[in-house]
Amino acid sequence: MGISDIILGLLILSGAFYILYRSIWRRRGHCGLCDSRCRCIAKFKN
Amino acid sequence: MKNITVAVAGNPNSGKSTLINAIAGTNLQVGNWPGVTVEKKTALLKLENIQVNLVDLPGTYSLSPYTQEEVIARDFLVKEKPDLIIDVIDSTNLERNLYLTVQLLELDIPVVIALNIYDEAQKKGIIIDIAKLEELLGVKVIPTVATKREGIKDLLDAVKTVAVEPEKFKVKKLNYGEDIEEAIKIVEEELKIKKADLLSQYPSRWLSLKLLEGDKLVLKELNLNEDESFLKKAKHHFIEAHGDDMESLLADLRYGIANGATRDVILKDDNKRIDITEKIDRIVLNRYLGIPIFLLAMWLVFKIAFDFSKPFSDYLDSLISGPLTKWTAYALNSFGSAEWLISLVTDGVIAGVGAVLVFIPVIAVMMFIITLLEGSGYMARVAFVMDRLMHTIGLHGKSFIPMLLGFGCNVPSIYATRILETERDRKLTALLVPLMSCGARLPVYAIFIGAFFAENAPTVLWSLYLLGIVMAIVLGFILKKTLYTGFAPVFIMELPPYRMPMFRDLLVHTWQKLKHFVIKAGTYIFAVSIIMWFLLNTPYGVEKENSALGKLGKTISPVFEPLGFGTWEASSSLVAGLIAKEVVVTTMAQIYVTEEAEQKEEEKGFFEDLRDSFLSFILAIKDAFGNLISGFGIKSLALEEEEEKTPLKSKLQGIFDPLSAYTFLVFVLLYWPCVVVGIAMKQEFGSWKLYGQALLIHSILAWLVAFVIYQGGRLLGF
Amino acid sequence: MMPLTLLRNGEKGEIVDFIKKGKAIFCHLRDMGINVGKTVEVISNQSHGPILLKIDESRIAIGRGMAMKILVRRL
Repeated sequence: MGISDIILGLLILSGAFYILYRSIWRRRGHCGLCDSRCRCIAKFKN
Repeated sequence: MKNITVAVAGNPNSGKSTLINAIAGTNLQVGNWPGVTVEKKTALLKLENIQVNLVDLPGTYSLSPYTQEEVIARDFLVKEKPDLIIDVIDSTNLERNLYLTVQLLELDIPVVIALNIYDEAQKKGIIIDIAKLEELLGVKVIPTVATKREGIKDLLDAVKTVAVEPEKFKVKKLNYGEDIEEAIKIVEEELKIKKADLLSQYPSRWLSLKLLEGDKLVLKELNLNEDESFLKKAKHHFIEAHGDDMESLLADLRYGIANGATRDVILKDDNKRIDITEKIDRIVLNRYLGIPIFLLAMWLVFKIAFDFSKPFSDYLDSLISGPLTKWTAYALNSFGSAEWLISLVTDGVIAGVGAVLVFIPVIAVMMFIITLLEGSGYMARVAFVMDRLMHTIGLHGKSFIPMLLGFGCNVPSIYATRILETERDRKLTALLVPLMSCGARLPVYAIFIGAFFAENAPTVLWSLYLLGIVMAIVLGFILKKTLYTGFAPVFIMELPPYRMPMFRDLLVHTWQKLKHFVIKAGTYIFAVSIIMWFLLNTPYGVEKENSALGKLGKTISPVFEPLGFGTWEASSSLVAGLIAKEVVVTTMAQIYVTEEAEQKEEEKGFFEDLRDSFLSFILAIKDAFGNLISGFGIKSLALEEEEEKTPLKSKLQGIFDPLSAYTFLVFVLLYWPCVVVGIAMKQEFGSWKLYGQALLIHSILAWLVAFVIYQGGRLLGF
Repeated sequence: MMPLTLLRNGEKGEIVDFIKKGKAIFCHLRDMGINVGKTVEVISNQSHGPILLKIDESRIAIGRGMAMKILVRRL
């Protein structure tokens, strides 16, 4: 395993973490059942 | 370009979402039960040079909100001041719907009435004098049949007119009688002097009426007191004559208008009794039959789901583990990729994501049937039937609706708790929801059931779902006695009539539910597979057992020893399952991936493989329908040819026995809810506390139940 | 005059009054169309659990305790 392998590996890994972050956190607990074509425009305020 | 906002309001189940879909060609979630729309949703629409924001509001019975979804509807109407309200009315139930209309007219916003479900009213022999209704209320009335897209064009014309010539839609004030009008005037004058800023925020007539009623929410928002001197002055007259109850007085008045209008405009009401709904309800809601029928229905769902999807799953399995893996490895090799990269792609991504994709057909069929049941109106009946059981845990039947919704995915269930009345109910229900077995757990069940319980697949699956419900009631009971004491508020729920959902809608909404799982597989299951591969292969080259993941698993595994699966493989998969329950399967698939798959390769060319896989797909379709038919009595058409063992299945059979496999499934069913549910809880209840409780409670519950099942099973000699 | 719970399956009654306790809930009942002067038909009353009513064209399930507080005149 050369240095280039390790760099590529780290790149892939960080890409994976980015996807994870984007799909879990950034969508804020909304999933496909909340229709994606329509924006859920307002959060409910207590 | 002109920009206008059109709110679509109306009673629950009057067909608002269907109407919007018909207008805008969108696919908003529609269901034949209350509480499908718990959040306002917008659809964008372009009409020539007008940009229309169509806002779908949660169904509401009045502008004095009772549940939180009703608060959402009211806040939008009052504070955002849409340019037009389309008031969707159920033509078969005019009076109650007009009661809301009367209140909408207080808002001083142009209203158009969509007299929806007009065809059913006609079928029932109800004839409505539309011109008269228009005259009485001073608004445009358009008969519509949203499901058949009838009347949509007229509705759009009305929207266009509002945008271009709003003066044509001057709102007619309904006369509430001299005394009330006088009182309104007093309040309005007073507000003009003292709180002019408020009048620019709220419709003045509406605000005055709410202040006269003593609406608690409004008073609180305005920092006013119920016995403000000017209010006292305005009410003075009524307090003498009718006691203090302005609220009832005004409600009676509005009802009077709705009732009078209804009597005036219904020309003929033959009330033909062709009501099949009642006949079905007599059986389905029966005290003794209700729950057994629900259980039987559930069993049938699993039977159909399994029989129909199995050939497709098998097909996908052979495709993914065979040709796909082979040719990907071949392609990567020919590019001269490093060995580890090939392993990452094949053993990591393809094995991991593939393990979930294989079960997409099962999830698809399940979602289809759930959608069918939702659309038919049966789901609301289940809430009725379960009411008595739910009372033992201090909730009522309506709480069962978010829970049922959880069979698809737990996340929307957390939001659906908005249909409940109190904060306590909502939190308690949200804590029980994760015990409802969601679609993401299906791949785990499916693979184990395939390996150990193939003959009794539907029954085993059914037992798991049922156990989820039972444990929800047990847990609910414990929580009621400890953390969430209290009683259920009164159970009041409208049961929609039975309807046959349209096939197009069924497909659209099945796809909406399914899409979530497919996207999930392509995004975070994909990402987690990559991360897991790295954990399994650091340091590179060691035995899996000694990898980072292996060591982690070994550290935890003693916890699971008494449950019958104290291996590092099972432990690490379970931990990874926190991200999403499917990950339990992907991790196992990665751990148990073997070289066998590549060994038995016959030397086939790429196109030969392509042709073969196409042929076997045709065969799978044939098998699926064959299973469906043979599943019902016409005994199996010898479809159970010798079970082809996939490597993962045979590995599992070596490690688990049926008892520990079942225990494992029970554990997966009950243990901690995934992080997405956690985020939803945070969003909805404002803190991580509830998710913290859920993590703790569910882990303990899962461990205890699994312990009892495993040790009990061993004592009984399984 | 009697509580709604005493009506049997298929019987009809006219709502005469409510025994008033907890005001908000009565407002909600009224908003759903359960109001004095309305005719209700009992579709399902099984001596336990909720009662199913038909008012105009809507079917409304009400908890038994609540139904006790709705007074009707048998028709």
